[in-house]
Amino acid sequence: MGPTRCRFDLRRHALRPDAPKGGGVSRVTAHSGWRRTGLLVAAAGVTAALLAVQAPPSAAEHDDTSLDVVGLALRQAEDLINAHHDGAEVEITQIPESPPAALPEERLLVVAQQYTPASDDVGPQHFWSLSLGTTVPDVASLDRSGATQTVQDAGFKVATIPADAAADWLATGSDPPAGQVVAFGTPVSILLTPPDPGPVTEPEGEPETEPGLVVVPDLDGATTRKSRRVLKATGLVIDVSVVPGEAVDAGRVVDQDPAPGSQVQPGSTVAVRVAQLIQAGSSEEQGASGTGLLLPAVGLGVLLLFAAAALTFGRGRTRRRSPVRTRVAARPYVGSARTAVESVADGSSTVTVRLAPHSDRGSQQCTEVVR
Amino acid sequence: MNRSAAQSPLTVRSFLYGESADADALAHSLDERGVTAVSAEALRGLSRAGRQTAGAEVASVAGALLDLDLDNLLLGGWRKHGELTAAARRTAALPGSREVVQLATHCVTSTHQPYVDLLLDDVRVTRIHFDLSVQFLIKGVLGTVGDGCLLDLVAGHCEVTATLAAEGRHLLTRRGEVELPGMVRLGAGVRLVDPPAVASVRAGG
Repeated sequence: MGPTRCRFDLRRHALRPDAPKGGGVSRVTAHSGWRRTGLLVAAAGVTAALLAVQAPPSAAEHDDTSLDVVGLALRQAEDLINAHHDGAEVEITQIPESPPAALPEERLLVVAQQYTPASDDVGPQHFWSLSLGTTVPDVASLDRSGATQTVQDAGFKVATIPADAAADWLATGSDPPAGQVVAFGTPVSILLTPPDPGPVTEPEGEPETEPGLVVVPDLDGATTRKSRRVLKATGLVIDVSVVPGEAVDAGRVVDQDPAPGSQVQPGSTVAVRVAQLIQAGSSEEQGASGTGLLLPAVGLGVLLLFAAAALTFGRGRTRRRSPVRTRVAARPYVGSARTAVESVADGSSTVTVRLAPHSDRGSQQCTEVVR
Repeated sequence: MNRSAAQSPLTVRSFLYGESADADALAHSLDERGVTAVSAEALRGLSRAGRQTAGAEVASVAGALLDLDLDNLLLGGWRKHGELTAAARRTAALPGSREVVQLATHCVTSTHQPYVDLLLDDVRVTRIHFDLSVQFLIKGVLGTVGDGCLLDLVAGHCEVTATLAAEGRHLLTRRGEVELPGMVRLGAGVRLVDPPAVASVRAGG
């Protein structure tokens, strides 16, 4: 009896027998181990997301997620919240308390919401905090003063680019762009150009940059993404840290080091502090353990789900292009009456398992049975 | 269990696991008694599917080790039976003579210790031992001996008891009765004594 040779792929694939073993041809084919991995990652993602939603006690402030009023007009949101709690006492706080009076009511939009259940049985049982905002007005073709007035009337802070633009310069747009809904108090940069572009002159009063150094740009009020882009264009590296802030500053740079206008070596790190929204009246601890944990956990869950999708579907497409990636097969071994198991793997990590049977013809004894 | 000479020989495997014996039956026994775990432990570096495949192949290979013809085992015992070998020597010394031998109740026991080595990249990682015992309890045999060979069986039957174990763990025991004239394939005769023994009888005269 000749030896039986088995070759397996070392990687841990899930295998499915296609035919019975023993004698003749038997075959075990690997179905997608990547698909199983994808499913596992998906399960992990869902678990992480569920834990993120359910586990942190301080996340209860977000717990009433069945009601989403972001994007609705303030009055409509209030009506929905009251209807949602069906007669229970509800306290709704709007941020800011006094929105721009010039804005019509239907332009007061909810840009963020927070919910907190009552901690005792006295007073309102549901606390809602609604951050308000509106759409950025269109300032194109307005002069500097007109554009500034329009933006201020909409309830936003005004910044002009360039800062030393003359009064007759015309607005070409804004950042954030017109039509985007942002919170009141958010800095809106008005992009200005001279009405009749003349010869370009060096701006007066600008300190001359020393050779080999770069000027640290002003990032105040910029988003993290924009700050990263600006610093990268300048040849600097960003270091982001998060600090508690007001709703109007959420996601915006509130401080930077070195200060704007500083001259530093290219490649230097600029530390920026980005405001993170915390609930009014809540402690820093709640902010850290609630929102601070919830968002990364949800992000992790979403990331895992994307990874699962990529593994499942991406690998599936790869397998279709190359149908035989890895399989373990048992087939008659050349030169032997027995079967062999061998793997056809695309990787190099294969091992050979050889079964060496040793038969024994045995020994016979004959004894008479005495009756 | 009656068999004719024209049928395929009755093997230990088919006696233990039935006529349609396949590797699954033995694999089930090995798995049930924890023998498969021995090979799996030795191959723990492999994937789960690889270990399962190896376990199934161990059963397949072990099944082949049980492809021992029962009649050959019995004849191996009869070659050590005093009355039969004596008749064989006498008839070998007198060509053309025949003797009908009636054998008393006797027992033939055949023991085997086959094993399967598992080699991982040509390095042995474990050895799985099997213990097989086949016992024949023979009654009422009338055999015809001529020219040093067993030529025919006129009567007799036997009780067969086969026991299989692996790694010291009992797997299966099967008992059955067979009619000897049907089971033992004699053909033109089965030699009971070696030619040198025949020559020595002739020389001794």
